[in-house]
Formats: sequence, structure tokens, C-alpha cells
Amino acid sequence: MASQQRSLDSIAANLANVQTVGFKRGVTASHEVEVQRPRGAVRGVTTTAEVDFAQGNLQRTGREHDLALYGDGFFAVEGSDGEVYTRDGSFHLTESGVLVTEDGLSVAWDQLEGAIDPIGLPLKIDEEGNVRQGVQDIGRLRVVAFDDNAALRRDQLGFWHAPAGAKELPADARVHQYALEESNANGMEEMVAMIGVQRSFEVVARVFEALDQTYERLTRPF
Amino acid sequence: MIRAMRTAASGMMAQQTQVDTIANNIANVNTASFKRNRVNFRSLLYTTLREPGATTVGNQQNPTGLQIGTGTEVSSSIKLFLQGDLEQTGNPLDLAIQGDGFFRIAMGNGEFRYMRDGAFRMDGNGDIVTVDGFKLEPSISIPPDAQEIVVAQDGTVQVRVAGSDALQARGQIRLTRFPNPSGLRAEGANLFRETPSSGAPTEQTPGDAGAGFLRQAFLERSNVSVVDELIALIQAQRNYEVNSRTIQVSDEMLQQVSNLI
Repeated sequence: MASQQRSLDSIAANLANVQTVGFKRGVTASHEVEVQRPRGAVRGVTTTAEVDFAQGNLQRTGREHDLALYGDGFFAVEGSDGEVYTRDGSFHLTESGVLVTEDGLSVAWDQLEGAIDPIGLPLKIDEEGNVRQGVQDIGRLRVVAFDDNAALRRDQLGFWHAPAGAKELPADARVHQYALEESNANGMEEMVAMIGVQRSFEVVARVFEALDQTYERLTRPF
Repeated sequence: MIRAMRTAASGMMAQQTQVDTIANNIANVNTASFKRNRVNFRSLLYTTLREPGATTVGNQQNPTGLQIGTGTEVSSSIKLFLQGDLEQTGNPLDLAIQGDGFFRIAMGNGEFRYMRDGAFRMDGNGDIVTVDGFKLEPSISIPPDAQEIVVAQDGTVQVRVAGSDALQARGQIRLTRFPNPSGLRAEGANLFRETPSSGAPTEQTPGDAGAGFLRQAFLERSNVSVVDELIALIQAQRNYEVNSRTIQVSDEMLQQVSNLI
């Protein structure tokens, strides 16, 4: 029952985030486990939560500083304690010409060749993440991928943290300017999953009831 | 299950903000130079039930851990400063900005506001003012005997007075640009105010280095597309519905538990 409850929590979070840009849905799975106890093995169920890193739909917004990734990879941004990663590319330009996230963290660059003129011409960002302003090259955005996405940890603001020693791969993600990546949680799928959870929960509850009746019969006075 | 309920409630609240925003966008579909708002969501606070890499039952390393989100919140609402369609009005003092930039408006108390709505009029002194009577800055006055007013694409204002064929220069309208226009504070009445996140204003000649051009006798329409807003409204309603369904399911599951006792 506890396992179904966690699944429901996870589905609820997915449903709440169907409109969060760059959101990746959580998937829970239950596994049977055998725990060795002094008097023999006990069987139980454990829940694991994985993140489904499937691509979300790209939605055109027409805004200059909206970037979407198509493919495997993350935008790197400067967190308070090192680099953190995000798929949410709704960036802003500050007064001093720094590209920042919604939370004001600066976007990381692979190499920075020039400064962005905050009131200059619109930025042109190509699929490789090269940023150009007019004829001037500004640099290349840092887009990274990891060999094991499952090892990434999400923080309270939804940024991904890489564990120490995580192996970086060259990202094959394409950058799309004037677009945002929609959440990959889908209302329909989550609803179907929720019905499944509810029914499984019901079955377990029935088992409890049956057990309860058995004990009741055993303790009934003759 | 209580967590699932709160998570769903956060989703419902966020969708409510979305509907409020859409309602405001639709209400302003005929407001000159109105810029549609967009609400950005972000996922809320992850609860780590099990650290990735922690030891699990049966002494095995857990490859993924167990992190469950607790919902969503509205992280910001931004104005999308995309160009609206230009509509010809025929009024010589209707000015539309095609491209980036704002008109600078003096509030009369030393403060300035910025707007893209170029429906200007003349006041009793011949000064160019907004429909609310605030002066355009730098101020330009039109002589009372002006027969014709010509505003060039670069903002130069010229008039032809009665009894003369030559055009007489009266000044130049300038445009103000911001590094981050989405950071401006909307004050109602189509006016915007400078904030630390919008950055400092820079005055430019229209058409210069990224600034827009002026189009005389045109007005910029709202950039709201009713079809897009209605689609967003339907989506928001459905999302609200599925979140409320989560609450219902949690409730039913809790009921089953209480029936066991």
C-alpha cells in the first residue's frame, strides 16, 4: 500500500507540472524484494523512482531569449555551488548583458569571445549554440550531456546536479531559438496510470479485509 | 496521499493563475500596443525519500534513489514584447513603433514612464501629449496654424503652416530601449516603469542600431491572438480538471483505508 501511495504522489507531481517548461516526468516502479531475516526470508515491495528524460514537444514562442533543446543534453548554468543543469531555456538578458535564467543564475559558456551589448541588435543562436549579435561572435553556450542521466539529482528549484566524477559527453542536442520545450508529462497517460494505482490499492485493501476476516473467524468464540 | 492532495492543489492554483492571465490577455485584445503576458511554471521542492546511491534492502546500491516532486508554482509572469500588427488610422498623430523601443512620457513630477501606445493628441498649448494628457519627452509643440504634420521614420517632426509651402522642423521624437523589456513594471494605462531588472533606459534615434522605426498614421494593435489564448484556456481547464481528479482519487484511497478499521 505504501508503494502505491508513493506512485500516486509521483503521478500527482507529474500532473501538477504538465505546463512546466522543460519538466521531466517521474516514473515509479515497484519491485519485489527478499529480505534475509534470522528466521528466514521475508518478501516485500520496494519502490524506485526514475526520471523519464524523453523529449518534450517544442513550442514556438517567438521570444528572442527562449531556447529549447532537442535531443540529449542540458544547458549548464552557474549555481551557487558549482554548475547546475536545466532543460528550461527561458532566459533573460540583464542590464550588464549577462544571459540569466528565471532565477537569475548566469548561463554558462563553452567559450566567451565577446560581451553581449544589452541594447544592441537581437541575438542569433544557431543549432550548435553559437551566439551571434549582428556580425559579432559572442561565443558558444555550454550544452552538456551525461553518460548516466539516472545519477543526476534534482534540487528544490528543479535544477539538476551532477554527482562528483560524472562523465560528461559531447551533447548531441540541437538548440532551437524562439521556442521552449514543453513538459513531457501528459495528462492522459498520467490519468490512466492513476486509475491503475487506485485499483491496485483497492486490491491490497481487499487482501487486508480478507486477512482481517480470517483472524476474526479464528478468534470467534465457539 | 495527503502529499498527493497538496501537490494537486498546487497544480490547481497554478492553473488558476494561468486562467487569470489568459482572461487579461483576451480582455485586452483591442487595446492598442498591448503585449500579452505569459506565466512561467516551475516544479516545486523535491522530497528526497532515498538518496541516489544509498543502500537498499538486500544490501544493494540503489541506482536512482527516490525523489518525488511536490507540485508546481508560478515562477514568473513576463510580458512578451513581440511586434503587434500595424493598423492604418489616418490620424497624423497616431504613431506606431515598428521594432524595438518605447516612447518616453513625462509624468509632470520629474518622473518618466514608457509606452508603446502611440495614440498622441495635442493639448491646448499645441504640445504632443498622450490620450491621458501626459507630455511626450522630449516635448514637441505644434503651432496652432499648422496645416500638415509630417513625422518621418526617424522621428523628425515637421509642420507646414498656413501660407507657406516649406516644411518647418519642430524637433525629433526619440525612442527608449531597455536591455530586458520583460523586466519593466506594467503600471496600467499602457504605461511601463523602469525597474532594476529592466536595466537603465537608453535613448536612441528611431531606426538606429536595433531601435524600431516610426510609422505615422498607424497604430500598433495588441499582440494577443484570440485563437492561441482560447487554446491555452482549454488546456488550462483540462489541466485543472486532471489535478482535481488527483485529489478525488487520493480521497477515495484514504476512504478505503478508513474502511479497513
